[in-house]
Amino acid sequence: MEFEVVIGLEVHVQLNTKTKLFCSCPTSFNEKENSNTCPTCLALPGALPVINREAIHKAIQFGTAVNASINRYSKFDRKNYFYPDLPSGYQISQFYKPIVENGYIEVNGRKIGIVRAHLEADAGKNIHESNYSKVDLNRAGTPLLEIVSAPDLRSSDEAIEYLKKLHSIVRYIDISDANMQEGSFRCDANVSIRPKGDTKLYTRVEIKNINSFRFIQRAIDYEVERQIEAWEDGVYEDEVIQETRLYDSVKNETRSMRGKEESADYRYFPEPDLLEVYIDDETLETYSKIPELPDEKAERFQTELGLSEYDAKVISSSIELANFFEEMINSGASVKNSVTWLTVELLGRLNKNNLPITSSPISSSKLSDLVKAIDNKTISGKAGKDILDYLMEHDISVDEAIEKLGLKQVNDDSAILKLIDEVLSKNSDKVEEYKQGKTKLFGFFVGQVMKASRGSANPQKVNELLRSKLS
Amino acid sequence: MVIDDKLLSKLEELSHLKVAPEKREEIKEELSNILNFVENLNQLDTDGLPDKFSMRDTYSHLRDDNIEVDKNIGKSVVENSPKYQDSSFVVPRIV
Ligand SMILES: [Zn+2]
Repeated sequence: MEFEVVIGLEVHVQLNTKTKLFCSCPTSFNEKENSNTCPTCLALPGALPVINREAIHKAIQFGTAVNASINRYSKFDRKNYFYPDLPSGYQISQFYKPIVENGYIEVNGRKIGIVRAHLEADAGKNIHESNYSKVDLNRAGTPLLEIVSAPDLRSSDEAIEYLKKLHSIVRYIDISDANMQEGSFRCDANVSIRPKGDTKLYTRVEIKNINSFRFIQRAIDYEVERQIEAWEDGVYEDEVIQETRLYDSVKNETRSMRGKEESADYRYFPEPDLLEVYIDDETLETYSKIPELPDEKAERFQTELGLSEYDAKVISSSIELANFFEEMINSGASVKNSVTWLTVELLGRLNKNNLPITSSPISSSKLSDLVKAIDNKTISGKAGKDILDYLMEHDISVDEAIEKLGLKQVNDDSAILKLIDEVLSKNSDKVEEYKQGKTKLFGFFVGQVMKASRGSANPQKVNELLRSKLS
Repeated sequence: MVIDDKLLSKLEELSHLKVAPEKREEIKEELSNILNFVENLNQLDTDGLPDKFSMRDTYSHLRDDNIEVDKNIGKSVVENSPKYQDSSFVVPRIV
């Protein structure tokens, strides 16, 4: 039997506001435990929450970016559960009336629905020791935007494409640092299968605890395989139940949390400490303003700069890369060479060292200088690669590197002719053979001249001058 | 509404509280009385009222995103907790 995979994703994005969702404590982390806390986020009796305007702003920006409706009225609710990193015993979230509903993003030409995006407060952190746990509440109360997709995704590849698009949008509109390793972009996946052609939804399993794109893909693939096997073995009803499973990246498997979740009953009710949120016309207009989105930028790169669809997509995939590229163009580097030197040469070297563009040892202005030197033939393309290698290791200017490596391209006819004369006189026997018809030797002469120039002669010029000299 | 043994057990589980056997009858009766009291609200006819209906005619105040923190608060709360280590609360091992 052929199966169809049905995936829905829940993404928690930590908003990059300066303060927490309901109090004025800073959201910065890596500070002394429990130092960024106050009576509100410590849930001391009597302390009341006050909503951070900027969190509402960022949620509205997100809604605008994903073509969603912004609810003029939204509400907060209590989700009740016990855990040491949640001092109040409830999380304030938006269950009944989220701020953002009914949007979509386009992923490779398909519309993927975004059912809702709602604001909620993050919990603190537990650090587990051998026989006790430590609790740090610095993160407690940090604003999260939970973005829930429709079950529209049909493969793990598509799920990853969706996540990358979402990640890129969130970075473009600058509502989050969206760093997966640091936990500011977290993903849970709901996975089910069904016989191809069937339209009903079967039992979905929720996978938690996945912190990289690669692991999300593996976790989904593992879970799909497990469900198909259960179906084929006739044990689907017993083995696939609605539950939460944890992904173990070391063993590459998902494991049931059965038992732990059985008492989950969140008893949502309207948060009595907060009134409704109302967005008036003026606020909506101001807060809906967003910068250019990835698709718009890719489109502009094609129409204005003549990039291929592929290059435009690669460069616009992340805001940092797009900015890097635009800075190069703005400082006068040619479009064609900028594309190659950024996407092939620099990114290739960064990938090899596992560095993101944000940690590139070569700035956009430095790469632009290098491209300009290639544009105006000060150096050859080959010399450019050597210089780039050198600059990856040494923090000096492009001019200094050209000087230091002696790679300034020789374009001067007389200088090249002088080298040619030397080479030809040293190899008079070969010149004789060439003249008697052994024309294959031409390549040998070019090689010798290039070698004599230590790679700095303009190869096109060498070819031209050599040809006229030997004719 | 009547609180029976089954519901009381569920409430114990959800609240992480244990009700002593000799207290069960009393608690069941008290909780039932509370619920009956709240039942009064059902006498109001709320059909046709919009979702956003509220007794108050105002909305949540929104606060500007400016940092204000007193680093001593967290410190003194930690130091007044039953058990702590350095600046962290200490609780029984969770997982
Ligand atoms: Zn606080």
